[in-house]
Amino acid sequence: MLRLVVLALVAFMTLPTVVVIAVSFNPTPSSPSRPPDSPGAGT
Amino acid sequence: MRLLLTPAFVVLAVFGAALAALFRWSLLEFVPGSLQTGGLTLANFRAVLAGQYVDAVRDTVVLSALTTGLTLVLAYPVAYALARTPSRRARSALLVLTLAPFFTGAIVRTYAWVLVLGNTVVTWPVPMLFTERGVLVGLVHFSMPTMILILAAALSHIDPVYERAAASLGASPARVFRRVTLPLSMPGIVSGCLIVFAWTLSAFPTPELLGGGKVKMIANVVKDLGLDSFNWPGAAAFAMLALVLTLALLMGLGRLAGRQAA
Repeated sequence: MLRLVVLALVAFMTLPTVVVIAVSFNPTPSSPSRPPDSPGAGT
Repeated sequence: MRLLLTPAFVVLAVFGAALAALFRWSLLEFVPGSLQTGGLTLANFRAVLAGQYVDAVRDTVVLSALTTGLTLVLAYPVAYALARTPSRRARSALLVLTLAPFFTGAIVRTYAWVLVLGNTVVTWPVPMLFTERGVLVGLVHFSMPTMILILAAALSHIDPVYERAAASLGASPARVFRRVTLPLSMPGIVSGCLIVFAWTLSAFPTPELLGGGKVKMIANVVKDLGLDSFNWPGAAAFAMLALVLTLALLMGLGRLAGRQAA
């Protein structure tokens, strides 16, 4: 019983660290590309 | 001896100078729309006794008390396991996992809680983000490693022979805990609670990010007054009031805890 409680509490404590690691593997969304005829395109 | 005390006096002088500057600012007149200040006045102290500021102080004290109580209840089993696990490898693993929150900075950790509490990872039945509940979760998580380490140090100093003796005399595990382990770990409980309570009273990033401007604690109000309204005298007056309140609460709690431990 104590072991289960301790495991749950340790999971609670490590949750943000796990989330940070998981999120760091997410691809960064690329910035929207400019239309080809817009000023500065291709430069 | 005097030479050895010099660094302590230097540190005290720096802290004293900072407090004196804060006190001086709290007595200066606020000129709206300007960073210039007027003459000496007590109006700042009267202004920060208004309803919204008193509410922030009340919320801070309530949240700090709840955080301290919850942290104690949640940290105790982990500290007990950390102090009493026979396997050295399991103890090391538990210690590393206990210290895991320190691996990421406070801000990164709080942003992770924004993801967790904001229904991105888990869907909560009640709103968590930007509520007192969410701030409470963040504060408890922030305080747990410190409380665990303090309690584990206190528990590791209790000789297990006392618990075995009580058990051999017929006491149930619950009775052994209530009559032997808990009273003997009281010094750790008192110091852990005092540290967590004082720490939470001055919490800033957790209520700022998880409260989303809806949950205001003392430090957030000081920031709003100083950096958003540029009311530095008002911010200084509120900080002085908060400092006096914190000192009074901690002295009262310390005296109460000392009386109960005696």
